[in-house]
Amino acid sequence: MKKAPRLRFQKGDWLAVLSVLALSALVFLMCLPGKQASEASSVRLIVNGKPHAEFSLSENRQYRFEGSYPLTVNIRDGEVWVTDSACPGADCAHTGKISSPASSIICLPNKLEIVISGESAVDLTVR
Amino acid sequence: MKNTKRLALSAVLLSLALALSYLERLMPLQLILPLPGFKLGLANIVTLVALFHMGAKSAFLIVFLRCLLASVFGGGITAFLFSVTGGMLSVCIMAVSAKAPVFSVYGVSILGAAAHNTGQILAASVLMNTVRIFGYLPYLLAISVITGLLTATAASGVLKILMISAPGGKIKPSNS
Repeated sequence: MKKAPRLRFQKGDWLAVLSVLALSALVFLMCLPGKQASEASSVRLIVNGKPHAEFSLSENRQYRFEGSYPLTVNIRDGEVWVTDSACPGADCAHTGKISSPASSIICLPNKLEIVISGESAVDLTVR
Repeated sequence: MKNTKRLALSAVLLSLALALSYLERLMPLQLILPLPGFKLGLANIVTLVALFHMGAKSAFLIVFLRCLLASVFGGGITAFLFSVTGGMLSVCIMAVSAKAPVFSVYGVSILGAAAHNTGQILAASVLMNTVRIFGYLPYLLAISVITGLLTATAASGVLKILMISAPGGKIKPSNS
């Protein structure tokens, strides 16, 4: 006779619960945003892995992004958020406001990332 | 299981998986928790049933065809790449963990749900050429414990009935 499948929650299943939670905690720690934004922080828009635009975080402004799903990027008092997203999910708008370096707003339909970087987009200047 | 019966059951399970993944798209879950990629994983109930009732090969086939057909009916190539990476990673992990006597349907389901989310984030990070999207993964993983338990509860109920109604069956579910 075929071995009956195990259909009830058993002790070993806690191993699955714990390992998934441990992995979650590990990834969370690895993704922790860095220190507070400084004056030099900038807001970068990256489309498909390539830089698209860059603004200063300390300068209040609105930017209309014209992609396959247009959206508006708002920068005010060191905070960045998205409004008026034309895509059905509008995850980017639901993300809310971001303000610290290494945090980001991601819009999958547009392949767009809005990132706060600690300093200017120039990583290294060669003279 | 006879070949004809196997074919018929696979077809029924495949259409059920398609219907469930469509149903899930209609649920406004993002309003409750605005987390990209967050869903109940209802189609995973079917994968679990296929895996425990028919074996790994059938489960693989059903998951692959579900991803393919779901993106044919609506979604497109990007949606296919997302769902197939998540689906395949999930069914691999589930097939392996189902062999381990430590895990019941519940453990297998949780690991499968976690693998599905990980696979989707991996696909997204490759497609978008970024690692920042991994910032969503901790939340998705934590939630996958809950959704995994929910889908396992449903799958366990279905499997119990399948075992009782199986010809020559009336196999009692083992306690350990």
